[in-house]
Amino acid sequence: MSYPLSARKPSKLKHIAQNPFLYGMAVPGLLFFLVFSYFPIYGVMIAFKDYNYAKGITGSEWVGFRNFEYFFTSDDFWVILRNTLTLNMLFIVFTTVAAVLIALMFNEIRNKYFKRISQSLIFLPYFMSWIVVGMIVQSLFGGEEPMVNTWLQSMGFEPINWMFESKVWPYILTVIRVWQGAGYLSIIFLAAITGISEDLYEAARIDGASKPQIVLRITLPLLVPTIMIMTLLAVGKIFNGDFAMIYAIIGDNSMLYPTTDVIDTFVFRSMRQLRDFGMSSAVGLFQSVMGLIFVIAANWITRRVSKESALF
Amino acid sequence: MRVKKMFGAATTAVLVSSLVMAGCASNAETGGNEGKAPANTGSAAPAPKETVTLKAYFPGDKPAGFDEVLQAVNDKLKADNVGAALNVNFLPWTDYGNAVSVKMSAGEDFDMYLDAPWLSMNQMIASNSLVQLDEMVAKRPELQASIPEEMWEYNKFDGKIMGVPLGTTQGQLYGLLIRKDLREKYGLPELKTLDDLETFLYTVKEKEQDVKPFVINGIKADKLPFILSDSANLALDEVLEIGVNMFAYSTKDKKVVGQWESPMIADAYERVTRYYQDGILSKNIAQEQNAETLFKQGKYAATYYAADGVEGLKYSEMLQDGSDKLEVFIPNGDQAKPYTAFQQWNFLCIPASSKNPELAMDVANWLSIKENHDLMEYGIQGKDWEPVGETSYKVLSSYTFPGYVLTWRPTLNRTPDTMSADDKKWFDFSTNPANFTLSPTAGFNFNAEKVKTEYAKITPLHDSIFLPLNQGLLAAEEGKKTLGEKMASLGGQKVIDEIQAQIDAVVAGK
Repeated sequence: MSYPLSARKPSKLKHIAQNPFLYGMAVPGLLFFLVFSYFPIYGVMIAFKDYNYAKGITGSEWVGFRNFEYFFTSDDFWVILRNTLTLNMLFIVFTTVAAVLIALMFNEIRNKYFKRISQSLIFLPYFMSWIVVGMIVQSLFGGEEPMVNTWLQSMGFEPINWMFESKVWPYILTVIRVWQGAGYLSIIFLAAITGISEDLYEAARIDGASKPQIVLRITLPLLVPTIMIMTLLAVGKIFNGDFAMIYAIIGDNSMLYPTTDVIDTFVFRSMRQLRDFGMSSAVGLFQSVMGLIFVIAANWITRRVSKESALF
Repeated sequence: MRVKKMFGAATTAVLVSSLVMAGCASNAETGGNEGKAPANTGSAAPAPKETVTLKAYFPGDKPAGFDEVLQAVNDKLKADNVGAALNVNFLPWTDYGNAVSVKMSAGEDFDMYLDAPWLSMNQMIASNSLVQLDEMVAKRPELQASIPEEMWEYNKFDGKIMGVPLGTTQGQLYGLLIRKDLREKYGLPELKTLDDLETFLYTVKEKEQDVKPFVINGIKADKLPFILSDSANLALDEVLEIGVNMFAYSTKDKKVVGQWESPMIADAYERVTRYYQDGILSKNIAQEQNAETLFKQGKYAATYYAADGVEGLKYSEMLQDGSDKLEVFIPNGDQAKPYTAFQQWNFLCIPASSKNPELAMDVANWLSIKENHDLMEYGIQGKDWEPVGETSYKVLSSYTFPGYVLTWRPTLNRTPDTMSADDKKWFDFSTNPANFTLSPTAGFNFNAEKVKTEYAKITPLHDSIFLPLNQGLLAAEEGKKTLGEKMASLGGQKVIDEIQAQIDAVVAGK
């Protein structure tokens, strides 16, 4: 927006006063985050306390960093940290790439009905409960005669004992994740693509640009800010293992822990007997703080590369 | 101005919705959920007490037909002039533990709920959130008599009754459920020993095309060393379970040890390893969660059994065709006299925030009278169930009340008539305290507060090494060694020392 030189740029407050309805629309969202994200930060102190139901949050004793001790001195600390980060990175990279490709392909479909139906279908797995996904995976890879092995054998390959091969699971989990999440993400990207001005395409066509050229030179570059924002948001949760997904699929199969045990499943198992609020909050706090650091770092890098794509 | 207007609108909205909610509540009352039925028409003799509605929280889904039964219960409470009515709320299992903790810390006024050491009971006691019940129990003869002496005695917390122990069996009797028809098909005699069992399992493995030998859920495999040992079910266990995962107590040298280190059950670890390698135990055991279904479908010849009145009944549908193709194999069955701590896993507790603890206990007492007990647990006689003798009943409806949250009493228990003869035999056996040997550590309940950090660090070993060892996945020798080393490196000794100190204190106090 540009203003005549004579007029001064209006202050924020004035801007709000001039557009009450526009800003009013932000109120529910702001309230939501205030109540469910900002107020609860008060509870962070549980991580530093020997929390006791009866004494309450403020009444419980301070214990400094004692609650953090168990997690950081755990035997498998580095393994689960590595697993959490690797799995999440695999998820982020492959889901994003797949989503962009899907969005680009959808953008080329001209038949309205076919487009709508395939959009819905590809979106569908996103709504599927992880428990159901876990059951499907069980029937594909589990049991004494896994279905996948029957296929492999019919094609002349050696059967694999999936439930013992921890090495293959990061890939299987990535495929499942892409299948589940890429559709959702692609709809967001598709919306961004739809927002690209038709003039640009028209100009390109007049200049005789080919389809691939248009995609590579116009659609993709203009999609980058959206991709960056979605990625930055995902990076914020990079230290949070997807408990629902991992636990529903891997469950208590210890043979697969070496590659699939993430912070959240590990903490769940450690706390099964103790149920200690303080210790679990300590790990939660660690995840959030690391997530924050990663977002700031990723944003800083993004800023250096392209200013418009950065989140803040 | 605008803000004021909005505020006004919001207040109105809140008021309206609370009115609507109040409307619902009073509807529910007249609907009878809380049983504030108008004037009592029956007994007029003693001045009818004012009815106080007691609020209860229990886990699980509301049983089908519960409203009618609760109405009948409340009517009868009224007729018996107890002065109380029940308002029972079922919370889904997934939220139960948290929901109750939160209600507790928020100081919500309710009168009874299910708690247990595996839920939040120890923490609740530590924080003085529960009412001590000793005196109140002593004043309520029916309640006291319906639960055996041993059960009261050994379910105290620091010498105090902090919850009414709910249970039917007095100890664990382990065994296997096997397919009798298959055993007979191959002309094998009734299973008496572990060798007989082994012959049976290997015969099935060799000769049956579609039936595999043995299925058990991965998570249950920690019981295998107790079933597949020559010392099973005999009170000569040099090592006995103490209710802390992975650890056991040696009665010989009075030391807390890792369960896997016991020489007494070493033979069982050998068997498990061999059974796994020979394909007697399913290759899928680590991931297995459907043992029950698979056994029901007839795909396996043996599965896990416990004489707890629940495990055996899961398979009653297999006998609906009138056959008797199932039988129970209890290792050392004829001489069984297993150790028990008379420990129960579920307790009816009264929160300190309750305004009517005496009344809540009156209801618990009232539920200890056979007629009332039967009404709550089995439903309306003639509609939901029908008595078959004194200790059995015929199921008529789909009403199933989770007795372990409120009504389980070993002396009043009835078993469904669908229970197989074998199952009933061992279940009845298990409800009698005389069939068990008192464990020297009875009364011990581990409190991990002092070694929290170490305990949290070793807990994951249960799933990552201890279970695979019990499942036969990790060969006995190697698995035991790894587990011992890991345990030592994570400070397991500190936990062992703490358990030892607490057990010593209990033993010394006797």
